[in-house]
Amino acid sequence: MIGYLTAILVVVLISALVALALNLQWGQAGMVNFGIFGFFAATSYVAALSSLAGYPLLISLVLAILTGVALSALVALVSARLREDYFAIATLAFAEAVRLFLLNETWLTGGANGLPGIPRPLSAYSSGQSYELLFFVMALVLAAICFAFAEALTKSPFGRVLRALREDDLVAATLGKHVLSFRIWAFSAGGAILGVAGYLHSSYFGYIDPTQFGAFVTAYAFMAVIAGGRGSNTGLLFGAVSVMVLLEGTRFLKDLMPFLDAGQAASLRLILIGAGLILLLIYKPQGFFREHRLRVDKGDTK
Amino acid sequence: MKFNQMNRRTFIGTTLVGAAASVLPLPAIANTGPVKIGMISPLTGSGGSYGPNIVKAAQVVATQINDAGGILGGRMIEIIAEDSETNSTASVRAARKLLDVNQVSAIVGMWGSGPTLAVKPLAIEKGVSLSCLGAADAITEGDTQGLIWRFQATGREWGVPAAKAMLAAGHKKVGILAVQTAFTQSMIAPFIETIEAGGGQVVVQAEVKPDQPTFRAEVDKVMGQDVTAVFLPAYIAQFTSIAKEWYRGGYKTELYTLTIAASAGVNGGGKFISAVGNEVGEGIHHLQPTNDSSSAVYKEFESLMGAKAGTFLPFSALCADSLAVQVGAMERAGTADATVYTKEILTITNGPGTATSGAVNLLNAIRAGQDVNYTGYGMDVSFYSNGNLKDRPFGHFVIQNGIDIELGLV
Repeated sequence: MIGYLTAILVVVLISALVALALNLQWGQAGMVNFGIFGFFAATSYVAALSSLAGYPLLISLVLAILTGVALSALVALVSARLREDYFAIATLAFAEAVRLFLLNETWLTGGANGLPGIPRPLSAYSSGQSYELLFFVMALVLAAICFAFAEALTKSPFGRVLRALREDDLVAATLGKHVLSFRIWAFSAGGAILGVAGYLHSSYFGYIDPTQFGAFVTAYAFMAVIAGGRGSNTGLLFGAVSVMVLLEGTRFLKDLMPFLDAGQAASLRLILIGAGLILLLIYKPQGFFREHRLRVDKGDTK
Repeated sequence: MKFNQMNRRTFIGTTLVGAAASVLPLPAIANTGPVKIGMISPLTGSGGSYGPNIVKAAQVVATQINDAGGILGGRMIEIIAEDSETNSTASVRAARKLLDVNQVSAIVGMWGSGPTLAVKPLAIEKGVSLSCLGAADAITEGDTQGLIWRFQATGREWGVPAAKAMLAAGHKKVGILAVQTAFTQSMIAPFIETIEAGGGQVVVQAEVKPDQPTFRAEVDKVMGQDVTAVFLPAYIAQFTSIAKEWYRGGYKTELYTLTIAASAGVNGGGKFISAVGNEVGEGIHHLQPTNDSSSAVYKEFESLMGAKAGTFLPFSALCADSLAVQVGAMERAGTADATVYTKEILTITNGPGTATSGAVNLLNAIRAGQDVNYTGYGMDVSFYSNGNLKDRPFGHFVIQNGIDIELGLV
């Protein structure tokens, strides 16, 4: 059971990182990134290819982060002037292009067969159950750093400008803020976090193929951010945990119902996941947490 | 209501006691309780039309074995089936549950190359045997420690017979319309090699995603060329739509695909023909490794599955075989420990010994101390030492008036 819980927690951390990136891009800056799975796929593949080429942990991680930043900056640069919905479509198109590249450039990415046998970091120091714990600790440390980074951005004047852009970019521009560069920075900051997520994903699973990066990655990330409360970094941690509890908890619920055949049980599981999300949106439409607001002490108002 | 409240100490205390209690009795159960067999099958997602019957196949065989007294001196077989969602990350989560929480002795019915490749390292690390229905070569490559067994022909074996059948029918200019999955992609290179070696030419090649809403553009692109036949490695979900587009377009091009996608069944009870109707199905060619549907044990299997005689049940018989072989090897070795019993798999499948088919027959023969050569539900089951199923001849079928007519072996 401990092995299972550790594994699930690692998966939660990875999905929380994707959600954290989305929260910076969409939650704070208002840039709807439907194509987040494409960036995640690209960083995962870069991490996997560099690990397979024999580079150590830190270099693979840095390469994945740089890929995330570079691709995000590029996409933001060419499409950040698009209005919200059109920007979302552009990111989706980018993700589709990434997916087709991964499927067709077999010499590099293994095509539909994917890349098996990705070396696991730190495996020289530990094995078996204790390795799982070690990996979890590593993932926790990396996630904590990303979380602190995102929190710092959110609370800084930079984060305040992002929220201003989200509410009305014209007002922000009138106040002398350079909208395009703020958007590129915000999108790239998300890309950096996706680099960490991609590194953890490829090294944890040890095998990647294009089917792991579908629209469902985007859907889970949006669910986590919405459930947690858009704009709140702490909230999305709860959101990511709730999504995973729905996805995995329903497996155990199904074991209690042996009278259903396998096909019915699997369908019921998906129905329960959907129903859980709908209930969440009905009863907690604003999510569990509020986004960061400036607090003014009573003394300061005088 | 003070007695309802739990303070932190009580909470930690009960949690620790509970955790300890859940761990302690395990060694005692391990040798007398049921033998747990996990399954990771595509119950939803793009492979969702195959999963329910794959799971059912293992369940009916397990029930049959349990009714006959179980294995290893009376231990029952318990099947725990998880949904792979036809996705490798979901499969890994399912595998973690089966391996860590349920502590299964073996995993069978592992469908699809991607999910199998993702679960393979976990099974090896835990020392649990994995029987898969995936075709990618990489599954059995590397050090598998004798734990990985493929109950399915490799991609290479699927591509070559289709090409040979097309050449034999006189098709020199052919096209390919393939679905982008590891299984179907692995057939393309051997298919092209065989066509070109036989003096033919692949004029056009197109690919589709498994979950595309429509295939009209690709069908028009391939069929509109100067080709007399098209090879379509696909699953039933995509092939059903492709065949309808082909029919609607009025193309004269002949279609060659896989039996798992387009079987009508010798009785017309196949899922494909019920979905598209006899007119669309007319003249479609399909191939698969030979399956002796006339054998007594296959007929018994069909009735256990609740299917009419002559219905083709994709992957199901192979899944039943994988369960039979795993439990047979357990019985032979006297243990459910995969690192020990998997060494017996080659002895019971490759012989020498009495040809035996069906799980219960296999177990009885092993208990009687006989040397056995397991021949499976409909197809012979023999392995190379790396865990790959040995080549078998392919049967070539064509659909006429809504039923499968066998044209012979390739």
